[in-house]
Amino acid sequence: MFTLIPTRKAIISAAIALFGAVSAFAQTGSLAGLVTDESTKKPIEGVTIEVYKTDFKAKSLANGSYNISGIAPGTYNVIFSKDQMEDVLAKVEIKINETTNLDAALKTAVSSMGDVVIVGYGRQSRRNVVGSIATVSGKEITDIPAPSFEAALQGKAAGVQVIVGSGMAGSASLIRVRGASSISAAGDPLYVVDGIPVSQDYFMNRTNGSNWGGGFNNNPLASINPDDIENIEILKDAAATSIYGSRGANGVILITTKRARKQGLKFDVSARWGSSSPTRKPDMLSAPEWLQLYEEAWYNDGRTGTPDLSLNGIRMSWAQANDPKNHTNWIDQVIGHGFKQNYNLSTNYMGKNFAVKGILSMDDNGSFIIGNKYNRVSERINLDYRPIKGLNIQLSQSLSRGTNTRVDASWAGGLGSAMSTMLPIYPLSPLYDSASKSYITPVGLHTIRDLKNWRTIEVRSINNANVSYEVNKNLTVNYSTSIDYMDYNEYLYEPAALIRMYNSNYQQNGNAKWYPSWTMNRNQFLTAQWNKELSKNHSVSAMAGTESQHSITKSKYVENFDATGPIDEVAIPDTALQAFSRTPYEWAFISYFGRFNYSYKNKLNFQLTSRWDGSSRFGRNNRYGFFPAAAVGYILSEEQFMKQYKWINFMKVRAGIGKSGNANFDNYARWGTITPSSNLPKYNGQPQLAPSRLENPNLRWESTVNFDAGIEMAFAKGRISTELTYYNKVTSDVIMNVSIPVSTGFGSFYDNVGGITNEGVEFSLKTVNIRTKRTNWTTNFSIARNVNEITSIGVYTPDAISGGTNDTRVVLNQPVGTNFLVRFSHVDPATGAPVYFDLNGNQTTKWDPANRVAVGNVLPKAFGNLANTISYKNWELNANIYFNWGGSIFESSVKRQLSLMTDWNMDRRVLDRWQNPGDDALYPKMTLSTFNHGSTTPWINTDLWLQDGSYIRLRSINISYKLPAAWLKKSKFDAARIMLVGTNLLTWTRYTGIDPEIARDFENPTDRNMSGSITYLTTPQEKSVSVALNFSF
Amino acid sequence: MKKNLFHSFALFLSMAIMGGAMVSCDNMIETPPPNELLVDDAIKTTDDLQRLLNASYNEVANTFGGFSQMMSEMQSDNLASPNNNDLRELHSHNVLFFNSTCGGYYSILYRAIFRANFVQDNMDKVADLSQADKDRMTGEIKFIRGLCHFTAVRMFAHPYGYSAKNDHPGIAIVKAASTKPSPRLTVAEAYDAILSDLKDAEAVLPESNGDYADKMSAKALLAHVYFQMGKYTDAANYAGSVIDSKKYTLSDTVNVFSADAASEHIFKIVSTGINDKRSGGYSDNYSPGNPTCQMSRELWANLNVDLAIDKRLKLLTVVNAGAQNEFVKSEMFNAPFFNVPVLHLTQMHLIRAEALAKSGGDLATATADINAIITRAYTDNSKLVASGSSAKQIIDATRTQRRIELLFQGDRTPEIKRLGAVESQNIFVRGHRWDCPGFLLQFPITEKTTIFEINPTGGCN
Repeated sequence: MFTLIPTRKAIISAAIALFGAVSAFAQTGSLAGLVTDESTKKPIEGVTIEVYKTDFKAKSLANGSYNISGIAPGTYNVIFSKDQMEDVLAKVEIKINETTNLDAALKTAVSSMGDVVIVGYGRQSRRNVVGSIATVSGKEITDIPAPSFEAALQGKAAGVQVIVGSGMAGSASLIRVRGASSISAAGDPLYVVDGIPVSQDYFMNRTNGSNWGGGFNNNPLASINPDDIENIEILKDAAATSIYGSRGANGVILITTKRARKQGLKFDVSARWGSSSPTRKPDMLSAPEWLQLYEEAWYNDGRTGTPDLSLNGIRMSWAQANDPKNHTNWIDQVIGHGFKQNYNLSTNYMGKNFAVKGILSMDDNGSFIIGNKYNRVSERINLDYRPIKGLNIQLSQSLSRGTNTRVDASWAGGLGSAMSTMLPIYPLSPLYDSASKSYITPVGLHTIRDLKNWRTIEVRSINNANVSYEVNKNLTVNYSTSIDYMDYNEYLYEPAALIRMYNSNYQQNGNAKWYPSWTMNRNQFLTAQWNKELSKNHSVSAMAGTESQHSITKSKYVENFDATGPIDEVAIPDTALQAFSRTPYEWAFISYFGRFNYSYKNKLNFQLTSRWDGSSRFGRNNRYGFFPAAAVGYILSEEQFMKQYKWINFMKVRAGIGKSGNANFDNYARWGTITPSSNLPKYNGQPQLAPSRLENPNLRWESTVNFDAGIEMAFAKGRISTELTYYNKVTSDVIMNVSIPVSTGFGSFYDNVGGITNEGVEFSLKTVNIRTKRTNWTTNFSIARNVNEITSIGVYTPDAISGGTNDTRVVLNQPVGTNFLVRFSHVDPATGAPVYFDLNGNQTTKWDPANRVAVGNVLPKAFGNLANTISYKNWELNANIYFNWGGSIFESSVKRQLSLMTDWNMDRRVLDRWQNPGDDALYPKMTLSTFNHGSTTPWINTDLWLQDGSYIRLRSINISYKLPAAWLKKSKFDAARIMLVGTNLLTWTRYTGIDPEIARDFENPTDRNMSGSITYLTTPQEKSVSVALNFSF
Repeated sequence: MKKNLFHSFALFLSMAIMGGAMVSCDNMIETPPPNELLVDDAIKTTDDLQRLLNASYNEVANTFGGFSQMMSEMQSDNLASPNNNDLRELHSHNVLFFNSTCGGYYSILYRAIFRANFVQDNMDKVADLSQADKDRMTGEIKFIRGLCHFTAVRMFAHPYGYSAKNDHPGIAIVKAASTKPSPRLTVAEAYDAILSDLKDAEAVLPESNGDYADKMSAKALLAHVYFQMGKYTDAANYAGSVIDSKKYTLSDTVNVFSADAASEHIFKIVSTGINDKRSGGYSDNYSPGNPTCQMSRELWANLNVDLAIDKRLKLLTVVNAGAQNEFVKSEMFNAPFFNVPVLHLTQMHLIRAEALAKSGGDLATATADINAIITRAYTDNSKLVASGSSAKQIIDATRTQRRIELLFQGDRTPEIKRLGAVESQNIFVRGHRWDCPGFLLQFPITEKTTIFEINPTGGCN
């Protein structure tokens, strides 16, 4: 791969050594010429023309021409170079007062990614690609600080929706490629790093029945170092994804790591420092305000006298609560400023048949939540070795250690508590009541945070060995084997000092818990690629391969209730540790696949792909699934009849149809199982055996037939390029973890039940607005519209599938994640009581869940991005504006923050409540009794908590300055850049809650698919400002 | 050139085939779940089937150890409004489909049915299963199914007799282990299925079967079913055959939950010790200092006139007497654990007394039945039914005694429904007529499918 470059580079180096520059003369001459592409014969812009060992340097213009004047006469070596192209070296003689002409034709470098696209199990030239594939460069990922690399994909590709996780360090983003087509099977795209589909279970360490998780989902991708990434390909349609068969339906994200590309020994160093804060702080009531509302509720309910807080379980007296000494702003105890730092050292060495890339990184990502940060230290070594002609060996190895210093959040505590149960009347140090010998106010959030030692440490190593051999000029065979090993440990230690605050009788040293888990994910594939140019006009290629993957995760739970420190930090004898095994889980795939391409005159391209997938998850009647696809691409601009339209530089139409699947669901759902007697109690002294699950022999992948048609065009000498794509995805056999009627004897059951369609258009436009010698201005705009509809839910009703506690449902003829709520009408001005609508639209004062209807959904109508890059001399300004149009936000927690007066603090918006007869208020009157809201149960959801989720956000803005070459000449640096980056600095929205971009902590994959944009005490997004330095030498 | 092409293509093919061989081991994609047994491995012997059946009894025990009885009492006029959101919805006859207590109750009834069906569907996996064991298990399966379906139809559907043809919505009848949703059948269809199961059970169950269901259990339950349907001749016959078998004798104690009353128990939920306590549905809800289940003030006002002579009222305590927070609690369930009789002899006497009187049967026997209960209950003879009393006199006395005898046993609500639907009484509870829509338990919302419409919410005004 790299051998073409070294050869040429070697020549250049040798030439440079031979023909040294001669010293300067007073009188000068000039050099001029034209730079073209060797294959297309078209002029190339932006090629650097360097007169070696002098300061003379120029860049070719749009018409390919260049001109350098003022060169002293003599013989020089001139190097023509451009990213993604092979260097050209020429010798030239400059004469006084003469312009020497020197033209050059450059070739696209085989090793470069520019016009070569990584497709599954191979690569293709972008021209000939017939599928829908978006490419994002590594630089775009690393230029903005993000909690994890996938968050940086936001706005980078049309139709790829990225909801960045909250401002919690290391949080997971929610990514959906072309809408939502899964319900209970994970709806995330398949992530493939250097050929291995990596472990990506967001719920891996969630323990059943325990509150562990702390209101935060583990993000398995956070341990992947963004600086390792050369580029990312996002496969969107069936022509591209069906080669991944039963796992491709929700898109495939192919990550290629960096390899050595430059001759000799090179170093890159970068550093970044930054600070973060919330985009907006939660706006809660102060203590006097809260007390005033409590008093108001007290009197509204017809009570008299001094309000009694004990009705809501608050143990403070009214006088204590009114004592300003006790008042605390808990939000300020939890939210601070996060400090971020990132250092990266990368080395590159390339010799004759050996190349190595080494990367060392440290990232310390402190969130604005005090005490919360994610630290990642990582290493990567990628080796390329070509011992004999035709044999190419690649080894890729990485090791990273991610440490998340955890705090409670959301419903589990921390900021979530500051927004709810931690009332502003509670003092910093809890009040002690000597009569009951206990604290009568809760332990401070800062105390819990400081005393609780809680970390998750993830060690991950992704390794790949790839051997390819060119048997002859037509045939290459390739074998790849990979291991993705993940060792995930969660350590929690609660010292005696903390436990005694709850239990004064506690005598021991502290509770230490350890949840380790290990995932060994192995993959291997063998492919053979055969290419043949049959004649001048006809060429064919074929690829066939087979792959197997096996993953097993083992875990346990270890605890000690008399520990002086965390299990990983203090020596606790094994005998003192209580260990509980947890159920391992295991899955495997076996696959056979092939691809056939035919090209006519390099302008008409056909592709057929197919894959057979067998999986451990498929029922006995469906062991293998077949996933075919066919696509065609036609480069119309090559046709004679198009030549008359001179303004069209390039035009390609493509269309494809194919099938892909999603098999990312419960590993064991297909098996019929029985719980052994040893795990069950006895009845009447006799042992039991209880059926726990019925076999589902028909369980299989969900299947998506995807039609895609697109047109790509370039006009105005390539200054305007556009792409317009239409797609239609029809998903059937949708996996649903159906809450089946309990009269079956079960609560839920995995089955292939439903149907979903996604139909949409994607449009992107890239324009070069200004292109002069000093100034460049380019604009990138993309927008995607997706219409989602559930077309079948079998015999079930909306409540058979629920998005956790978030009141989203699966409703026929509505989109996935429909807000299914009782409609709120208004607050009765006379009484202050809420008025609802019943099913028929009549007003009622009774809240009845039977009156729920589809009132909104979590999916946006459209979203997109506007990016502008303006460079002037060495300065560059880059601004990304992300926009989201439509989609509802459901604030699940405000039923306690804007409604009933309880033991929660309230959102300041509640001040717009009914107080006196005749008031036209948004929120009902304050009351302590749910009956006054027409309900027999206290926590009721209505569409009063639903808002439009549209927003526009300045996602990132950065200003960079490249140090002039003249300055660098004196140093050893080849390049140096300084950059200022701001993220999420501005947001425009009508949403009245904290932040309109929401990915809360999810309970399971169904919840993750259905409850984006639902907030429950969710930590807001962060905004950050950073400064970054990059050096190359 | 051609040869070269052929060579490379052949090589390409052979590589592909080799690759196939490398991984074409289907065993690799067989990864059964750890820590659980696969059905085929787990069911090999009669003992395995017995254990599976015991798991069904386990669910029966969890339901009928007091939980089911409490759910029924809560709707009736026997209890005061509880301090519990879910149960208060039952008490106010306005149960939402999100009521998790009610949903849990429904699901446990059907889990018992599922587990029974699972045994039935897997019996053929045991080759050497004897005919006697097969019959017994089949009988037990059908008895459990009958008991649970009968309980469900009484609680979740309007009673037998609510509509002329009983074609009003009933319940799901599940007779095979499957994840396929079942339709909501009519009440007539439900009763047909229940009778059919119980008669099959009666035919194949052994005369005695330890603590598990036997022939008499099936007969006693049939007496209940017929009585609920207003088919009094059949009810009297079945109750009579249980009484006349002389297998059971009335005890002296007025607390049928006491160990001394074991001679009356026809089918019971067994608690073997404090670690295997199945009576929590009673003790947890009736025994604490301020219990969830407190007697309604109206009932107490009715009963306490006989405080001096009615021994049964000695099992009730007035707490905070005279104060605003006065309440009446039961002391019947204070033992740490006890057996809970689901079917017992007192019920048979009460059924036979009324059924004979209603169906023109032998009034002397009916009088003897009710007087056996009365004699035990009172310290004097003032309440005895005189011989030669009319059918109506016997019926009135029996109904009065029934309410006290079967207090807290979940009998009152079905009795109110029977009196309304079969006996055409205009009977109310807290101002709600027996047939108002909210006087039913509500199904959990997940029960709703295109073939199963759930009950409306509330609607009793």
